[in-house]
Amino acid sequence: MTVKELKTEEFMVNMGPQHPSTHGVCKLVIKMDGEEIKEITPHVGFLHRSIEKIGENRTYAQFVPYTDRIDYVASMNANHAYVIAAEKLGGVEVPERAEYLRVIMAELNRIASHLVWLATFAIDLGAVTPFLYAFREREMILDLFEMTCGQRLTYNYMCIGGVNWDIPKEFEPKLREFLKIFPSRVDDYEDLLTNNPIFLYRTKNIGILSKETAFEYSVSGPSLRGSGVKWDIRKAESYSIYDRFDFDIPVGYNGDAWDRYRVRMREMRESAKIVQQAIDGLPGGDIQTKVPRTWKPPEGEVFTRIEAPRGEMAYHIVSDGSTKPYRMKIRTASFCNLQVLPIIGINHLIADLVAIFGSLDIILPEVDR
Amino acid sequence: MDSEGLLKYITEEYKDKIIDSGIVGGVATIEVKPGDWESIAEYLKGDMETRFLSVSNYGAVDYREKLGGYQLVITLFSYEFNHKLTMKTLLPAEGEECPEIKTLSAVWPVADWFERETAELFGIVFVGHPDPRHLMLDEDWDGEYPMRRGWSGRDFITKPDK
Repeated sequence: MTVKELKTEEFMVNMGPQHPSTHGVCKLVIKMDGEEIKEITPHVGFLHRSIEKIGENRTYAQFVPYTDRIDYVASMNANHAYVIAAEKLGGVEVPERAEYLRVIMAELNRIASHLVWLATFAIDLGAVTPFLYAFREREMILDLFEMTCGQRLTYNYMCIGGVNWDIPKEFEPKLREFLKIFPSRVDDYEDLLTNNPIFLYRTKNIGILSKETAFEYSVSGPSLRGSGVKWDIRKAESYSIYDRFDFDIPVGYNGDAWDRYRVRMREMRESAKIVQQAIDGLPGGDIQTKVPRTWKPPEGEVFTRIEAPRGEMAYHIVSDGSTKPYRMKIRTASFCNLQVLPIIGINHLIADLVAIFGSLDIILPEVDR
Repeated sequence: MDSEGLLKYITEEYKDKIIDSGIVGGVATIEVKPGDWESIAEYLKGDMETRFLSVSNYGAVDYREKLGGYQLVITLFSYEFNHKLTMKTLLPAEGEECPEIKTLSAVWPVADWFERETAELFGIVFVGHPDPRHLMLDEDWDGEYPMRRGWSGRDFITKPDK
């Protein structure tokens, strides 16, 4: 019997719901032809907590801790997205110092989030060392957060009208120490990975996301910029006080997994630059505009969005003038970014799917909400 | 274009299809009839002056008590021009009725999951949707629409026997 006569047939593989490289509870039903992927069907919703419904049953201030749970790797940014929307709805002015503190925390959290991504992405591809390196630096950021708000994962730091706590006096020297060593630490990660032949072999030309597909699926964040689109909401809409800082938007060229990796690595350096400028220019003064506990924003609706570490995070809040939102719709980056996986994952090997999934930086609680 | 300019252009270009327009929270907003939902979406995507290639947000609001139906709200945006537009439509519905509307997933593929989510949580039927399975909820969840106002998760909590 020759090879031609051999009968082959497609078969199905379940990847997940509990799989170490889906970073959350996601089930991918994959149709395989030998080692090649022919079709991917993502099944999500395992972490659905109906946070939007919870939002309708809580007062505006009570909802802030829930936003932490939408994206627990970048809780500060999730807080930021919500408070900006609520403040715009109610026309609340935020003190200058609070805006600076928010930016410092949001950018530090962006670095921490990218470090978690780097660590897990590398470990998915079999490189264990970057995991230890990245968590070492993440620890320094978590220490800064812990001394400010007492929490290490879900911070509940920002509130409507400002921030909940001022930074302690040991914060600034610690932060400056971190900013001093961090660029050289990023050099270390890059030494380990960027031009590593094994890493290049695993990521170059893998999971190419074209600009057109990215637009059609509203992909945002570093995954979009990896495809060569210079789009960052911090620049395009400059919410908060981002227009005061000088930073670049790194972009990729091919849109493959390696480009997305490069964009995130360079973004960490840019975020460190923003934190440096913010801590240098940190003004004194109040950290909070007093907003009553039973705060009633006027009737109306609002749509705002921010650039979270994974991309666009938007809130559409409808108010009927009572203490609770009438409707709250949360748009998260991973929800849209995950939809391109069935497009860009096709005709790759199953081992490459792990690299593609990792390079998109999906976080499942954000998809399911 | 800024919000005013964009709104002026759209209301002039599509004036026979727009029933209401204005600027809500800094975003240009138009309201169209449910029958024009898909066709105007196609126009807005293809129009070289607007180029709404992407969807920022897409969901529904339960306005049965106030306006007698569900309002679909879609926020479009353009990377090229850096402008955004909110488009709304009111689907009349009473009680437990499930209204129908044409799907937008042929215009923007990303609308696929947004519509699957809205369909199961609000009970809105998207006609012509390529994959109308549940997204968030369990496969055999049926007949209950959690995001409708008045639905409470408390009814589903099983109390321990005393």
